[in-house]
Amino acid sequence: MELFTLAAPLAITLILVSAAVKRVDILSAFAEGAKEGLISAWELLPMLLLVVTAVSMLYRSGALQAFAELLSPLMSRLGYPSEIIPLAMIRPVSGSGALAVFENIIGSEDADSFAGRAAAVLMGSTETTFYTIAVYYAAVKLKADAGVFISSLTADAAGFIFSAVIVRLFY
Amino acid sequence: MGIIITVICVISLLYSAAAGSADELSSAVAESALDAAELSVTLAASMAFWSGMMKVAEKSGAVDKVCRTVRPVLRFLMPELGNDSKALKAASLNLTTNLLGIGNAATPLGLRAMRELEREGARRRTVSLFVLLNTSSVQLLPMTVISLRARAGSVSPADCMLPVLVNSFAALSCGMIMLFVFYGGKQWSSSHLQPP
Repeated sequence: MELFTLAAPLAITLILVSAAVKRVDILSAFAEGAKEGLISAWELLPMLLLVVTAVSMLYRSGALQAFAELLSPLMSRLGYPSEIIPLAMIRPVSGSGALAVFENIIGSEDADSFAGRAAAVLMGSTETTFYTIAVYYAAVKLKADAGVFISSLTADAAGFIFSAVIVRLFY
Repeated sequence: MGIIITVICVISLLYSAAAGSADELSSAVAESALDAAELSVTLAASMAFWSGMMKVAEKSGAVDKVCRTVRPVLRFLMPELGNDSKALKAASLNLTTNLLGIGNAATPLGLRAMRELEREGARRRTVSLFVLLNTSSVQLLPMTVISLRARAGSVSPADCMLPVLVNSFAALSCGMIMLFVFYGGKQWSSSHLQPP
């Protein structure tokens, strides 16, 4: 656990030490790489402007939450805690939105309750799919095709379906 | 992507008209450009830093060492890439940093892998598979979730580690099956690389 918390500082130190041992010109190599990183981040901005606007429209209009409420009676009959449905809906589109919902669930429920655990599993095992796809394809001239959306969203849906099952199995 | 964004906007507008959340919607639009800019600055800072670090690691030969361990897995998943493929190298590093939970380092490496995949003329299936690996968030230790659970007073905040990992793999497998069905088996078995 301690080791993983230190993953980033440890990685930095190891990289620098091994470069120093090999007598690499650390400063110029770092500057060269950092410049490349800045340029590619700059190239992402136009795409992000559009995606962030669309996602916050969807979230703030309340459409996403309404859809989640619509589904929750059906899902709770299937044995899914109704609290995690909004989380499942928001997770693929907004990282900060998902974080807010997740905090809300483990704050109002017990963090070690069924809903709290299912939420944790769902949160940890899925990503901000739409954002990731947008950023990754913005870096190249290729267009995101249907295949990547279908497979990623299948993985998200499966992550949701399995989350409750897995929590039942493990605890 | 363009169509999806358009659909999202239409749904939001129609819903907020029906639900009376028009004020919220227009303030969302007003604030989102700034949000995006903030996000880009955060992203740019960490991307610049980790790209710099990775360049140092590349020159010292550390990159090659890490790649050798992860490479066989990716070679199996993306058989069309040659052993000395730059895309394969960047993708291996991207996967490693994701597993370790250094997401900030993973993004620039992932983008480099995308560019190399494009340059090497990789098939759509291979590109989609690589993106799928990134959207399914396979990580050994979900730090954010653990720290939030600890703050919410969980008795053992880290006990979600294994369930999270198992769930990630289960979800990823489903995504891969779907990918396989969508693109068909032909692209899977063929190891022929198109000329760039």
